[in-house]
Parts: sequence; C-alpha cells; structure tokens
Amino acid sequence: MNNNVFVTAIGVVTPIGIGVTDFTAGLKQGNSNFTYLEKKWNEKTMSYPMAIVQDFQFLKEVNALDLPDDLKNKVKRIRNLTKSEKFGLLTVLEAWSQLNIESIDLSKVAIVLCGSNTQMDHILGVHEQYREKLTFMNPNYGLSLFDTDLIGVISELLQIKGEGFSVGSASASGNMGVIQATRLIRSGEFDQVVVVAPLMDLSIFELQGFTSIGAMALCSDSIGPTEICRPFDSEPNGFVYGQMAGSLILESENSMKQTNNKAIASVAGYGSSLDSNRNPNPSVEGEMIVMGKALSMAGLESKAINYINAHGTASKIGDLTESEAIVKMSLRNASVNSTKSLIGHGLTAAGLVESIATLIQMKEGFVHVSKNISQPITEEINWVTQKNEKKLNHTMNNSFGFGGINTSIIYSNL
Amino acid sequence: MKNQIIQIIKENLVEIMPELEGEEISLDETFLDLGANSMDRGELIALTLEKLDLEVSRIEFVGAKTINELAEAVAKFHN
Repeated sequence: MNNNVFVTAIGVVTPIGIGVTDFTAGLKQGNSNFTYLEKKWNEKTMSYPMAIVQDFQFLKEVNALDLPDDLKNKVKRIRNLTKSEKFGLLTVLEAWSQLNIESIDLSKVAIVLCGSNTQMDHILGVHEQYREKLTFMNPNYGLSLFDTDLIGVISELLQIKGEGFSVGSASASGNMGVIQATRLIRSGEFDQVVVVAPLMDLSIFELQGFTSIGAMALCSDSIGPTEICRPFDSEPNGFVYGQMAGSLILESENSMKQTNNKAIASVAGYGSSLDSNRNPNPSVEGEMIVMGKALSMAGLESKAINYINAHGTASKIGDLTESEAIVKMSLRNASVNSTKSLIGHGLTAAGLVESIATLIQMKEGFVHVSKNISQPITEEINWVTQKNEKKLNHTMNNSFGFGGINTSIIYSNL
Repeated sequence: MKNQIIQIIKENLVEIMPELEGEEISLDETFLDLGANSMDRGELIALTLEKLDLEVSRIEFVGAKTINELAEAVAKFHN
C-alpha cells in the first residue's frame, strides 16, 4: 500500500493577515503587528507585549468563504463558540473550502486538535462572571471547558465520523499534531486528517506566568513594540505572545486519486524526542536528534534542506541552542528565518501556523524576512535579513516545547 | 405572575434560538418540537432563573416539556 502523506489544503488566522491570501501578502511584505497591551486586574494595570489579531469578525469571514450556503447557515446557528474556537473553526472552514469533498468517505476522515489549555481567557471570564452566582452557571460551560469541544463542533458541521482527539506538547503541539496525523494516514486507517490548532487564548494569569518564569519579553520604555521581538539577534528580549490559529488537511496519495485534490507539499519526514528534562531549557543534542530523525525518514542529506522555519522564539538560550544544533547538523544550504519575528509566538498553535508559513513560501517560491536581526547571534547561518525569491525543494520546520519536547518536520515539493 | 414568567421564557428562548424571532411560539408545543435540544433547554432554564434571581436547583425543572409547564414550575418558587 502506498501511504505517502500530502498537505492538500491550509487555512490560517494571524496578526498580519486573516486567511491564506492576506497572510501570504503579509509574509511577502515582512509586516509585523506588535503592541504593548494594558490589562487590568483588580486595581492594578499590567502591560504585556503581544501581536494581536485586529478586526476579527467571525461570521463576516465565514460568509466570504467559498462554501455551500447550507454549511454557512449551520455555522451561523452554532451558539456559544469561544474566541479560541472561532479562530480555529474559521481556519478549518477555509481549508475545507479548497477541497473536492464529493468523493470523500467521511468515516475515513479524522480530526486532530493541537494544543491543551487553549481557552484560558474564556475560562477566567466564566469564573469571573459566575463568581457571585454559581448556581446560574451557563450549562454550556460543561462543554466548552474541554479543548475538544471544537472537535465536536467541526465534526457536526462537516459530518466527519472518523477519529478525533487533542494533542498537547506545549509549544511543540502544532508540529506534534502533524506528526500524529501523518501516522494516522500512514497506518492506512484514515484517508484524510483535519489538523487544527485553535488560538491559545491566554488570560492575564498565563501572561503573568510566562513573565514570572522569565520566558516572555517585558514592555520597555527604551524599545518600542516594533523592535521588541528579536529572534536570533544577539540581544533578544524573550518571546512575544501572538494570537493565531491554523489548519491543514493531510491526505493519502490513494485518496487523492479519488478526490483529485492537489498537493501543496508532502510530509517527507519527522522526528520527535524527549530530553528527559522537566524544565524549560532546551538541548542541542535533543534538537539534533529530531532533525536527524526527520532527515533519515525523508531519505535526505543535510545539504538537501534549503529552508528552515526555525523555532526561534527570541529566548537567548533557545536561539543559541537551536543555532548550534543547525550548524552542527551541517544544514548549510538552508536559508533560516523565524516567522515569530513577524507574528509572535502562538504557543500551542505556533508549530502549525509556522508549517503553514513554510508551505506558503514553498508554493510561492520566496523566503520572508526575519525581522530585528541587527547583530546576528552567529554568522554561521544564512539568516533571511531581507525577503528573497528562492525555490524551496525540501524544508524543515522546528518546534520545541517546555519539558524537553523536540519536534522537526520536513516538507518536500513534489 | 405566570404571564410575566412566560414572557421572560419566550424572550430567553428567542435569545437562544434566534430563528424563532417573529414566529408565533406555541406555549404547549414541546421544546423538542420547537427545535430546542437538551443544551438549549438547560440554558433556557439557567437564563430564566438568573433573570428572576431564583436560586433553585435545575433538577426541579427537568420534567417541564413546554413553555407553559416550565412557567408553572418556576412560578411555584417565585413569590
């Protein structure tokens, strides 16, 4: 049985563009959209740097998609969707609108949701709203407190009847979802998998938690929001949270013969590993292991990779570690950028949205600028300091998570 | 009082099911026939009790299948 796995559709919401068309334009132009946001808690006003999706109007965006009216009407009738779910659902619907679905066996379609604890701001809101009137709790909270509520919504709307589950691997959740979905197809059990990473919607508690652990950048008087996010610069500030969501649809080669869906790229290889380390610090060895596993599964030598979408969060230790791993893996033909320099860190959604950024660059033949590298952390890597046209054949997307979770995926052009 | 409660239930039902807006809603048709699923009914009860500031367990109302029945059950707890 031929179980090659291909990406046949994508959908995305980011701070520099809602939908694939706008996100592609944003990447080409090297736009970013960072701001210092004030949030109130009790009497205190806190300030956090972040990249925000402005003017997100869910139903207006759904209406603009090329979908049957009855599906749009079903979407309109669904109540009590959280912000995280609306972001995720829109990306699924965008991807779905690109597919030929007539000949799909919906019992052979699975849904993999990337991320855990994706709705923290919603949950805090419910707790605040019902603090003094617990008995009047909206019963919908019994559904929406599960991240997997979105799986129910998607399956009901699209009548998907295969398997559904969520995958949590901290900031590597997006990549881990692609890896698990690839396995579902390679096993022969499923023809298609909808991989969705909804918005990881942080409340002020998570923002403060990431500040406390020293991972997140602090707002500064001496540096403006446009310069705050500096992956691979010699003076980085820590990561900057970005609001985003993404979906991609994976399909088997056999299924594509029936559906005539067109491939954007293949999932040629992947690697994942643990560092046996509960802490947030990364490991050169662990990162080399997953890049090596991905290369070996894809049957490629290091020199074949001509683009890397780095994890590159702008954490000093993280960026140094990843740079060293890339150099030691002899990935010297690769142009390297960090999509986080434009849209921030989507945490559990980052790996999937950055996979989508990778696929867009492959399809369009360019590499986007990696912003704010004034003085690179190392000269041994080919950083993309300005947008370039480049034909990308084999690309690598790295994603690493707290708790020593490493992932790397190779996408190949056909 | 019961009429007031019926009015509140109707308003809440339209809030939950906007497709009923402008429709004539029968007080004796079952919620199921009106198109409300179990989540909608649960939310209807929670919203109605909240508007009336009635702290009563929802278990008291699970048997109410129509607007009239629900209004009667709620009225028992409303002074």
